[in-house]
Amino acid sequence: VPDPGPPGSRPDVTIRIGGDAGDGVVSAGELLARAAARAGLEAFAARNVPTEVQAGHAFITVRVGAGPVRTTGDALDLLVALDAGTVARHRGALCAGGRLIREPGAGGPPGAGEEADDVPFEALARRGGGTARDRNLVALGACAGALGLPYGTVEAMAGERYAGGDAGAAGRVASAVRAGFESVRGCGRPALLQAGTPRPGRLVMTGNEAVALGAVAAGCRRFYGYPITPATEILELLAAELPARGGSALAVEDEPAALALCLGSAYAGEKAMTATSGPGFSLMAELLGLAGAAEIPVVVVDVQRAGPCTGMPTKTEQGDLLSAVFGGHGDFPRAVIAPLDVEDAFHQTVRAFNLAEARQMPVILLSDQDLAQRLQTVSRPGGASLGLVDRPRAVPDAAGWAGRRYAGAGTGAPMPPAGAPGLCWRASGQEHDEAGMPSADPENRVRMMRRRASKLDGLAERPDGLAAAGDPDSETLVLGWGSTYGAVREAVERLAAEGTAVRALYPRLLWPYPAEALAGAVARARRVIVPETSLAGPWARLVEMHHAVRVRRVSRFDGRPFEPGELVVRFREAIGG
Amino acid sequence: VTDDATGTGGWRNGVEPVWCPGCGHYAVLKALEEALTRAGDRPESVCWVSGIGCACRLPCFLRGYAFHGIHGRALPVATGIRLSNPALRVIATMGDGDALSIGAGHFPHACRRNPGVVALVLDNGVFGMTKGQPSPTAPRGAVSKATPGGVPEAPLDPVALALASGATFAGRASAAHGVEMAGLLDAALAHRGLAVVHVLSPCPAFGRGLSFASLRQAVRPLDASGGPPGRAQAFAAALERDPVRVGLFWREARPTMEEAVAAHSRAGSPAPWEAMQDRFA
Repeated sequence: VPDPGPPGSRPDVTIRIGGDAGDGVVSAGELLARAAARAGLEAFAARNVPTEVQAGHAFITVRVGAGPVRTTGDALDLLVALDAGTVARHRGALCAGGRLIREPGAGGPPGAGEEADDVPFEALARRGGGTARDRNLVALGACAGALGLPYGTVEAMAGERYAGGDAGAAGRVASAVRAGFESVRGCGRPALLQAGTPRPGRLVMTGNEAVALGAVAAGCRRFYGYPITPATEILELLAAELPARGGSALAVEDEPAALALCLGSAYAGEKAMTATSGPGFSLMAELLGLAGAAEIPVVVVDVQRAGPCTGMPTKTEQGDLLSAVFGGHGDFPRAVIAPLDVEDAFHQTVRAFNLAEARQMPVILLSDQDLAQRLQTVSRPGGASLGLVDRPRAVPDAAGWAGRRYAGAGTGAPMPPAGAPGLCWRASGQEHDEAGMPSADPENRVRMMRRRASKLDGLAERPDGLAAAGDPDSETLVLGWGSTYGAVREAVERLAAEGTAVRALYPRLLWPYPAEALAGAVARARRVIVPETSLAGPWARLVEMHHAVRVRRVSRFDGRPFEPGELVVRFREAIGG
Repeated sequence: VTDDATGTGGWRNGVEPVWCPGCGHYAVLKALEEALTRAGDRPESVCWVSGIGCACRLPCFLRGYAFHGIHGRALPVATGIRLSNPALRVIATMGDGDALSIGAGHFPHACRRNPGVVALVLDNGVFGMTKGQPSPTAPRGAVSKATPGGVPEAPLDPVALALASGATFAGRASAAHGVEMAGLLDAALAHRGLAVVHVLSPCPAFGRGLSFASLRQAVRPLDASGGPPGRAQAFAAALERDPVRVGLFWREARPTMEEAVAAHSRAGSPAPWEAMQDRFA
């Protein structure tokens, strides 16, 4: 087994692998992240692919460390270039002393302070019996060699992914990985990554995968969806997993159909979910109102992408928050939850199902492309009690039931599954009386509106539900939501290290708005900064709507997530200005 | 408060229909009662699904479970109910606007999918609830306040559309021929899979051209007692207009959506969710 050599000096390392879309650079990076996690390290990977399937430039950025890594960082420690275009595009992102590993000659002579090594990816792939398509495996081996990862872990990971038990294929895969590893070790440079204490038993998954896992853990039986970037992986993973659990995940004709099927399944007593992105979420607005009016539990995942309209399907944005909170006509109850990172996406999905069941209403889970398609190491959630909630199905007084499903309190009323003997009831999206019959009676109307509105009573996030970072006594409060948490937390920690105290608070349950939980912190702060990947700043608007404060917006809307170094600079400006 | 919840007695729940006098939907209501009684169903084993429009009020006058949803989405709701409870008798009642205008995106897919749903299309050629705008089944040239120059489009035929979309059961009935309609509903209730039943049902308030009298004149049963021999012949018969044919155009056996999904699904001892984590190790 090739020797990875003595450990290096960096606590974490950011690697970018680039090439043509279709070269498999994204797969190589994902395998690198998985291999690192299996070796007990923390990993974070974000891909950047063109919308077209096999055209244009693609790259993946992987950060690996012995301690927590919450973003891809700012600068590259290592750039692995399968073509000259990658060098030209990304050389400027290398840190001082950064290392370039490239197809020989790609990008011309090394830049100042740049360590450049030639690895003939294609020639090495062919030498081991493979084809040019195996260049990404050589790149994987090269990355592992440069980092100093244990070779056997990387080879095994690549074999599992690409060989599928075929001994011939396994040999070809192993020789490509090994060729890359040995080629880089042979350059004589020390490994990059510091030794740390391995944390065994960690998992690596994307945000979309965490949502799907959370749904299965929460007891979701039916998933209906329409393919849409960047949410499709949820459909595909559940299509593979739900049948083994007596359920199904189906691709249907459009997004209204997907949510309508969910509501049918939920009425028949099963937990149901759909997932989409902005365009599909817009189409679902009327059916969200039906779920609210008819008081049907359902979970709707909106994996936001850069809008409006088609926008940039493979790029991130936090542009749908106000649609989630206020979308649809008329008043109806709904909760909106935004997970902060991949591990949180699992738990918030379980929470979304629990809230939907407890309150019998739609719950919207707001993810985004950044969170959905990044890979992160997470703790294995298995074994922990998830505290699942189920709607009350039995009717205490069946003889006096008379279909009065909409009688009494808005929360916790019996909801017998369609088909339960003797417990018929009518679900209705038209204003209705207690038995679900159409009614335009003014007194009934007021009662039903109040009943539905009461579903949000006592629900808002409590202070202990806020994710917090930084100094609680700081004059500067950063209020954010969702996927920006990692970059903001890293920025807050760096500012603290340079003597600037900042407090960051992140609620997960965004609606009903956590006014009480945030009131004290907002009142105490001299300045409130709201970072969002959105031009309009929906969270900034909600914060200003609920507190007597003008916030300072830090926005990014070029389709890329925040970088921590960028936030350090922009927070400093906001504090100074 | 109705007596919906109990499982005995007749099908009507005591709520008086809100339809205009002379509406064809009364005949549908009566035929449904008769067919369900003959089928021996209990109200608690039936789930009505409807959208919005005059036809979609029908479940309000009958006992059973009911999902009164939004305009155009009855078929996907009904399919979801069947997938989650294949033991339920699911009957979707739609108008022509509901099924073929706003819900037209769902109609062919329901036919392809073949869920065990009786899909009633109560067709009067108009949007009655909004006072008489032409629906997609209105004839070319039909004049209304919304189309003072006449409808410029050719009409859709629900039976032909169902047949072209792979429906395993497609029939047409007339509100003026109640006994025959109830007979067609008997066959629809006995069918495994999606049963599309197109009912010509006059609107006395706005239905220009379509009336009980005109139906008695214009409608003839299909010639062959066994129905057309193939889907293509059924399709041709569905498009005949002089006279308009009624009866069972086409019926074939194909696995239902629920059966196809269940064939890939493991009931009994489901895999624990924890096992799914091993994918990510």
